[in-house]
Order: sequence, then structure tokens, then C-alpha cells
Amino acid sequence: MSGQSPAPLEVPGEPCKLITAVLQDGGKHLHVSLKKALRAKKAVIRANSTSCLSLSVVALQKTKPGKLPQPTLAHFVEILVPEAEADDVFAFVCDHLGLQELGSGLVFQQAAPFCTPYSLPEGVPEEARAEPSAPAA
Amino acid sequence: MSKITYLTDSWMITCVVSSATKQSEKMLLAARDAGAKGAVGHYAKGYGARERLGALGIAVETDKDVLGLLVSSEQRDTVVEAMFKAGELDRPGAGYIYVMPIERLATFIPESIMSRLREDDRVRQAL
Repeated sequence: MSGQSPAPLEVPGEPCKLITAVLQDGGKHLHVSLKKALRAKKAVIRANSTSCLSLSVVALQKTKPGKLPQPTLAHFVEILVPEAEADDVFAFVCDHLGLQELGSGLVFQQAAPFCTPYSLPEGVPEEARAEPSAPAA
Repeated sequence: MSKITYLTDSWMITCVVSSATKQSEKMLLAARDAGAKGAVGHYAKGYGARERLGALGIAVETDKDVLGLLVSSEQRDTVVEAMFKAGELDRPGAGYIYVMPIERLATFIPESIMSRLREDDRVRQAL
């Protein structure tokens, strides 16, 4: 290890914020509507989602000693935005998701000191996608 | 827009361990006993040093569990220590934990907890 500072990267980039949402929406597919809304209303295109298992508020659920409660399906949405837009997008995500019940999910923000830019090709028509089905009553 | 309460004193603990050894369940139990309130987990495939162990340069894949827990500053070290010990992460290849600061966190906070937080704030300002 030398004491010299590393040479600057020859890659375009900027400091960003990583906003992550963990959603337990009971099959409402909020992660899909969130990504659509982000693109339509905030022009955010760096967002992805994946499924995960969630143990929400573990300590409040009664279980047998030494056992964990049954995990539930959740969606994990990651959104990358420039620092200047982070406050606005964070508030938008919180407002879109509601988060009015215990265990409905959470949103958090972390620093991402270097992120490369991302753009979509122009002139490509939107692909048709089937809307996810609503949960059974 | 509705009023949002941000929590700022939080940390994300991420842990990558082997799925096969069922370490993740032991670690989650230890985290719960140490005060962690929730966790998310997903599966992943690991690549790395094991590539050198496979025959003819073919990578040996291992299924991994990736666990994520959000904790407060006070709980952070206790939870990390409990998870490290429960997962026996001092063994080579057992897995690893990393901790990252959260700039802000928004979730539903029951009124009983909010009033307690407000009271704590009032006491802190009075001192």
C-alpha cells in the first residue's frame, strides 16, 4: 500500500443515493406500480426489484422456543438516484407505498459514492406487459 | 403528501453464509435474542476462491443465504457479535458480515413508540 491517493477513475460517474424499499404488500404488486410511477413521474430508470423472504418484527411474534416464525414473501426494490434528487424521490416512494400498518414494509437510504450513468436507447417502443393479477379476496 | 417520520440512527447488517449448513437460522435466532426486530433473506450463488478448488478450472458453486437486518446504533455491536458467534464465522469459508450506515429510514411507527420518542427528545433538549 502506498501513501499516494489513487488516480481518478476514467469512467463517467457521480455520487448517488441508493434508496431501498422492502415491501410486504400481500400480493398487491406494489413493487411494479412503484417502478412504473418512478419512471413516469420522476424519470427514474435505475430501479430493480427482487423477491425475498421476510421475518417482520420477529420479536413480536409468538413462536416455540428456539424457532423462528414462518417467513413471508416480500419484494426488495432498489432505486439509484443522484444526490440532488434523493430527498424528493425518497418522499415520493414513502408516499406511494403508504406504510400505514405495522409490518407493511420500510424504506431506507444509503450513500452510493460512485455510480455510472445509465440511459435507455431512444426510439424503441414500450414493450407490452401484462398487468400482474390482483390478489384473490 | 402525508407526514413521514425518518429514523436516522440505524445500521444495515448484511451477512452472507452457506445455505447448506443452515447457519442462517441459527444466526437469525441469535439476532432476535440480541434485540433485532426483523430481517430479510434471499438466496444467492457464491463464486470466488472456490474457483481454484474445482477440477479443470470449473468453479465450485455454493448456494448462499444473504441476510439483511436493520438495527439501531445501540444494538449494532451486540447483534453483530451474536450473529458472528452463532454462525461460527471464525471458521474459514463460513461466511462474512458487513455493516453499513443508513442515512435515513422510514417505516410505520405506532403512536405509543412515537410518543416515547417525543418524550425522549424533550428530555434530551431539557438537559
